[in-house]
Amino acid sequence: MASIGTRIGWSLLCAFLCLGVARAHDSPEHQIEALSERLIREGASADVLLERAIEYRVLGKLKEAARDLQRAVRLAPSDSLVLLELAQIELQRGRVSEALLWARRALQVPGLATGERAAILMIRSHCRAAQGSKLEALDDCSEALRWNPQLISAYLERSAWQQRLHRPHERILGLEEGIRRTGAGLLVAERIEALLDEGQWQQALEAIEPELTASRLQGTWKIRRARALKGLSRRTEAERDLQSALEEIELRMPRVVKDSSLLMDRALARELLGQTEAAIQDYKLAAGCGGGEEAIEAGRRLRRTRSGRPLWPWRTQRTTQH
Amino acid sequence: MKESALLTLFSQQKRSGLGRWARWLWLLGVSVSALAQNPHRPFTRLPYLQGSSPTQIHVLWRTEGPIQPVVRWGTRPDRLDQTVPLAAIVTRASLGTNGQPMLPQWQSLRTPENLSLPKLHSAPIGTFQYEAAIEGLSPDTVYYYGVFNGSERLTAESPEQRFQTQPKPGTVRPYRFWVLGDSGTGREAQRAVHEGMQAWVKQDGRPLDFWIHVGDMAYGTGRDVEFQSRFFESYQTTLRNSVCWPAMGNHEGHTSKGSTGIGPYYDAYWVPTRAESGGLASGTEAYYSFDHGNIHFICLDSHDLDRKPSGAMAKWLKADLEKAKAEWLIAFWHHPPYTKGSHDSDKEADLIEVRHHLLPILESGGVDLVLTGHSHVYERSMLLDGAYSTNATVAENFILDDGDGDPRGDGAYLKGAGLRPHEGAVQVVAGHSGASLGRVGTSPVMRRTLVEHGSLLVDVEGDTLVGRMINREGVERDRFSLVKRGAPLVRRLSLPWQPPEYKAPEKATKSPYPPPLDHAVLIPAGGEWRVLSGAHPQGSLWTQPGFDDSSWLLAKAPFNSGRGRLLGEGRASKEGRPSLYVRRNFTVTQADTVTELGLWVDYADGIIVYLNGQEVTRVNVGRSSGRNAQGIKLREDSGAVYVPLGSIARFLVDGVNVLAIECHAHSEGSIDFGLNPALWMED
Ligand SMILES: [Fe+2]
Repeated sequence: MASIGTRIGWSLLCAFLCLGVARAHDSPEHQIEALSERLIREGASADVLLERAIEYRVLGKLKEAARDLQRAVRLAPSDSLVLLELAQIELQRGRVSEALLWARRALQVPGLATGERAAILMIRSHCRAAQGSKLEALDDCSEALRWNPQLISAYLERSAWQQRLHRPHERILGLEEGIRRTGAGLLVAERIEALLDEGQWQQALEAIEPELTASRLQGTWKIRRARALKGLSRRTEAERDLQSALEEIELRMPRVVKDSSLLMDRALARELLGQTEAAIQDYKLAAGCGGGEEAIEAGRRLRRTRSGRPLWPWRTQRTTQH
Repeated sequence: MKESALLTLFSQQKRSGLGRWARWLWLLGVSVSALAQNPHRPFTRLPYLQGSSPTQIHVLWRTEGPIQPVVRWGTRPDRLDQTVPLAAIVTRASLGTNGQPMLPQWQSLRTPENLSLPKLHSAPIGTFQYEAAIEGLSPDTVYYYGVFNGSERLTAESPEQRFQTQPKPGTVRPYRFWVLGDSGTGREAQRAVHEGMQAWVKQDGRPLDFWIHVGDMAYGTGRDVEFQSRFFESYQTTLRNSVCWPAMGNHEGHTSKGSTGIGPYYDAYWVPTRAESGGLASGTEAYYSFDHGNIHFICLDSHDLDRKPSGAMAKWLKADLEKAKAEWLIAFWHHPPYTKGSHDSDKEADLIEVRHHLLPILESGGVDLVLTGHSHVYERSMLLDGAYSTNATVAENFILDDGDGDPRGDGAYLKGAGLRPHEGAVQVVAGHSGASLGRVGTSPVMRRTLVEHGSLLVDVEGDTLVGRMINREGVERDRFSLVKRGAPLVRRLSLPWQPPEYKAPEKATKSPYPPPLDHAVLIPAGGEWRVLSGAHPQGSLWTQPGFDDSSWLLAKAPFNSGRGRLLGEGRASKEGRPSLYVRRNFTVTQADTVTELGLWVDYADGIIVYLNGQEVTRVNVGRSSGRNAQGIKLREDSGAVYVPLGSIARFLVDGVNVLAIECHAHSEGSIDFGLNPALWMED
């Protein structure tokens, strides 16, 4: 220790990688390396395993993430965060019954914060949906909302289930409750969708008009208005709205990689105009770029109805599209 | 300090033979030292501004224990003639759980009335947070405010305790805001970046209207103590008179969850959920929007919410964009869609998802500027549109203007007036505001990549936006401009300019790990330790509390071979290498408020550090420990360096703790062998 300098050895830096403070090599790979060293040095702990699992998830290594989380659960069986994460990862991996098991375990953790309980119930809802248990999936959304009445995604998902299960009245009331509690603009739009699905054309139209006036981008709202107008047998006005919506969509549609939210709008506009094949094609494209179940379901429905049944006037089976 | 720990300590003092009065004096001393640690009493978090609109603003602060909260305001600092009604002040409290050990004074606060208050989820027990909404204000007006406990004024009468309300939506006048990311380290670079910005702004003569933090404001895991020391204390002078609009980073995401809305991040901020500042009500604090004059801002949670278009956040984004009517559209979040800094947007799933799912919605909605962080570098793109691929990003046909965007160089990027889809946006990665920097390559869409600490200042005036990267020295290092006028022709460049390929330096020079800016010394350099040399202790018991070290030598650091005093008796190691073992007690009054512990240490060659029997750091020692230690590397540098200790949140306790260090020489003949440790606590 005779001569004193300033540079620091690489091994010292490696030792710092394990610590929380930000470092140059912040990438998931480096984090995993550092956390692995830390696990060797300090022994396994649920916290560090959870951290490493999250980094694995970022890299799409779900199997490794699940393995770490399972170890973490053994070390901390009542750690709700670990259980929540594990349930989510297993669901992502398509291992639905395992996900369900972990979600159930999480719900048994004593002293869960209400927000946590609601989040876990939503995962259980997704598990049940994946198993085809629609009613139970719906019930979980409702229960989640009892614990966290601010959870916007739960209102939306519950609304989707109520639509699929043909519970229009409940659906509208539930959304109105959500609007009262959260004020969320998304729920206002979803309520209007519910009115349209229910065939309450006049009421929907009255709710749409101020929204349309307040909007800069009007395509989505014009499609909604077209549905209401069609329902009221005002076909020419409806078609004008649809054409105008399509023009706006074309202007906004990116050239190469498509935007699924615009594709969903275009699909519906085309569907309402009777351009069934083009609409099916759009739903397919949307499903391929993040449109999810909604796009798949819509495409499927349209394929079923194209065999001669009238599309017009029409009450959509759309889910949470707004 | 928790009650149980106090009692343990108290009984230890009793055992040590101190008289009753001496014990009480000792106890008093603990409280006095706790007082001395907080010069701002009763504040534990000084007042800061949040969520403003043309007619409203929020003042938040924290105290240890409850006060009678009063906020007064007025248009002159010496005449605060208005008072916020008590009903407009929300109180949150951290009161622990039933049966949890705590000081008697906190126990007495667990009244039914206090327990019914909204919870602070992660603050130290006894913390009260007040959130005062000042309403009925005039737009674009400067006000002054003060916080009181009943009639006792707690904040100084100062022109710095001020705020300016937003102008009416759509108002065209110059706006200036500051953008920073990945700053919350509590290190010198963070302070330098803040001061660099302040110096530049002061010289320029126009103050900030507000600021945006794009996340990672409280390393390493967004704990409440990390928020306090690495965000609130670091930026106090800016927080008290301008609103910070936050986005959550992945480091905050360790302890705060977007899906539950719970955690220190959500405790710290007030953001609009019901369109209080314009935009479409999101109904959640995880993502939100607001207007400021003729600019519409959108904040997303890129960390832990569904990023897909079918998710609630993306749907809200689309719906918010439908309604946005401002002249400018600026979006911010943490994870960058394009980067080759310390992160790689071609490899990491969350970055790819942001690019693939969220950017199309924003660009078809007419976004002008996207601000992100996460990657510890400054990157600024050319005028860019449509590059959403999940594959490696390319520039061909996605760049609309490949100039430098600098009004003094190739000229500003031009777009049409208003919000128009797919006319290009500038992407800025501002993850360079405090954390150590890194770069893996060059993103082909970036015009400027700078591996240096700094932040971004943005000026918007009418149809012109100017962004400047101001470095830690307060020097402008990049400038770009967007001008939105008329309807310029949109061209897609098939062969745009490309940044030179990045070559990583063959031998990277590593800078030393910086110590925390503010620290208290728990064990001074040259302190007295119990020392064992010339022999190895058996097992690991010697690292633990309760070990009888009375047979070990009591000696003052430094311990080195040069002095020969400790090492002359033999070097009984398997390989004949000199080894040294030291241990010592230190006291911490409230472990849950400690952000970080670290050694300021000179050593040769390898050390292993234990806190209360648990290994918390090792440097230059490959495997095992004690007589079995293997793979001891030669320490090539020398001198004292800062070595942070890991996992203190798990192992540090209230009251007396034991720090133990073993030090091993690289080889038998090592002439530099030795150890000189001090223990620091981040303040
Ligand atoms: Fe980050």
